[in-house]
Amino acid sequence: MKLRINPALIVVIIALAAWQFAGRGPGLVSDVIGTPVVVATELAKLLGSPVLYSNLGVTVFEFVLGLALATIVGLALALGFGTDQRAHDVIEPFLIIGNTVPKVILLPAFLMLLGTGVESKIAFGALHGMLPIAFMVSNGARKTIGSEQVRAAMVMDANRMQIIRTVIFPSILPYLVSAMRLAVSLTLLGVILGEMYIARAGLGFLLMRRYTELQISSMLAIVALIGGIAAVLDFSLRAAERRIWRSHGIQQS
Amino acid sequence: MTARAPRLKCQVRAIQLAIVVALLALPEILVRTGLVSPFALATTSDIAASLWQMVVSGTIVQPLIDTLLLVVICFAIVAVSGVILGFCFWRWSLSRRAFEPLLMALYSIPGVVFYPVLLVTLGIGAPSILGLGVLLGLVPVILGVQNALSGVDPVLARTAIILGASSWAKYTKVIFPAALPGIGSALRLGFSYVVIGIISGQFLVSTGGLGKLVAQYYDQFQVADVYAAAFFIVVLAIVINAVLERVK
Repeated sequence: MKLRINPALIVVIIALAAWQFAGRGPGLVSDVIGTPVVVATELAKLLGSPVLYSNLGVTVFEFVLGLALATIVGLALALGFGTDQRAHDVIEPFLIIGNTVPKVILLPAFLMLLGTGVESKIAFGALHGMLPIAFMVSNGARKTIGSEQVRAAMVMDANRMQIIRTVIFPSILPYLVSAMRLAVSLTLLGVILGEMYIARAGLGFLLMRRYTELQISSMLAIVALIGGIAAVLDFSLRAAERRIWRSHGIQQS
Repeated sequence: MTARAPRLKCQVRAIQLAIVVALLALPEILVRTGLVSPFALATTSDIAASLWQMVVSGTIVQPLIDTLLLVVICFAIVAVSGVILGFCFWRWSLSRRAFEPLLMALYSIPGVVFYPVLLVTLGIGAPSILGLGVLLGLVPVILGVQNALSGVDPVLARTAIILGASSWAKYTKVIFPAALPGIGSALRLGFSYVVIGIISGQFLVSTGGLGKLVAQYYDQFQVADVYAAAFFIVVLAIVINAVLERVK
C-alpha cells in the first residue's frame, strides 16, 4: 500500500521547524515571541490552570446564548421574509448591507446600551450570526416556494403553518446546516471581538490581558487555543454539511 | 404581470423608505420617552447635530483620509497577491493541496485573534492594521479566483491552442477574460473584508483613522459623537459597496 502524505501537513511541519530554528540564540523570536516548543509548553500550562476554565466558561456561555439568539432571530426573519416575495424584496438590501458593513463600529453602541458584561457580547455575537441564517435560509425557502410540492400541499388543503412545517422546513434543512456553519464561526467572532475590546472575562479578554502584560508566548497559546476550537467546530460542521447535502441529493454550489 | 411589476417595485421602495425613517426616528423616541437612558443613546437630532459639527469643523477629514488610504493600499496588496496566488493554486495542484486546507482553516478562525500577534511583531500602527486587512481579505480572494479559473470550460483553452494561440495568449486572451466575472466577485468580497479589517484594527488598538475616532469618543463618553461617527462609517461602507456593485 502506497503511503499518502498530506502536503499541507508538510507545510505545517516546515513552518514550525523554521520558527523553532529562528528561535536559536538571542533575538526577537526567542526573547519576545518564543519558539513553538515554548508556546506548546505555555499551552499545556494554560490547559492546567483554573484561570483558563473560568474564562472559557464565560466565552462558551456568551457563544451559546448568542448563537441561540442568532438562530431564533435569523429563522424568524428567514421564514417571515423568505416565504413572501415582496417581503423578501423589502428586506434583502438591509441584509446585504448588514453583511458588508464593518459591524465592529457598532460595538460601542452595544456596550453603552447593554453594559460591559456578558449581555453586550451575547447581543454582538448574535448580530454577527443572524445575518447568514436569515440570508441563506430565506434563499433556500424561496426555492421551494411555488414548487410543485407546495402547490400539491395547497391542493390538499394544508394551511400556511402546515406547509411550512411539512414541506418547507424539510427542504430548507440543507441550507440551514450551511447557514449554521457560517453562523457558528461569525457568532464566535462577534463574541471574541467584544471580549477583546472591553470585558471582565472571557478568552478574548484573557488574550488582550496577556498582550498588555507582554506575556507573548502565553498570548500565542491562547491564539492557538481559540484557533483550534474554531477550526474543529468548522471542520465538524463542514462534514455534517457535506453529508446532509449529499443525502438530499443536491449539488452544492 | 408586466404591468404589475413596476407598481410592486414602487411599493417595495416605499416600505424600505418607511423602515429607514422608522429606524432613524427610533433613538429620538426611545430617549425622549425615557425608555433608554441618554447615557446609552443620543436622540436623532443630537446625533445629526454632532455629525454636522464633525463635517463642518473638519474633525472627520483626517481620520477619513487615514482610513481610506490604508484601505486602498491594503486592497492593492490583497488584489495583486490574491490573483497571483489564486492563479498558482489553480495551475499547480500540488500547491493547492499544500495550502488550501490551511487557508480553509485560517478562514474559519476569527481573524481578529491574530491582531495582537501582528501588534507584537509589526508594532502598533499602519503595518499591523494593514496586516489584519490582508489576513481577512486575502483568503476569500485566493479561493474565489481559484474557483473562477476552475469554472472556465477547458474546451475554450483547447480551442485556443488548436487555433494557434501561444501559451501566454491562452491565459490573457481566453482563460482570464472568461474567469473575469468570478474574479470580480472575489475581489468585491475581498474588498469588504479589507474594510472590516482596517476599521477593526483602527478601532481596537491604533494611532488614527475612523475606527480610532469612534473608540476615542467612546472612551470620553461623548454619546452623540459615538453614534454620529459610527453612522458616518456605516453610510460610507454602504456608498463604497454601491459604487463597487455598479463597477462590477
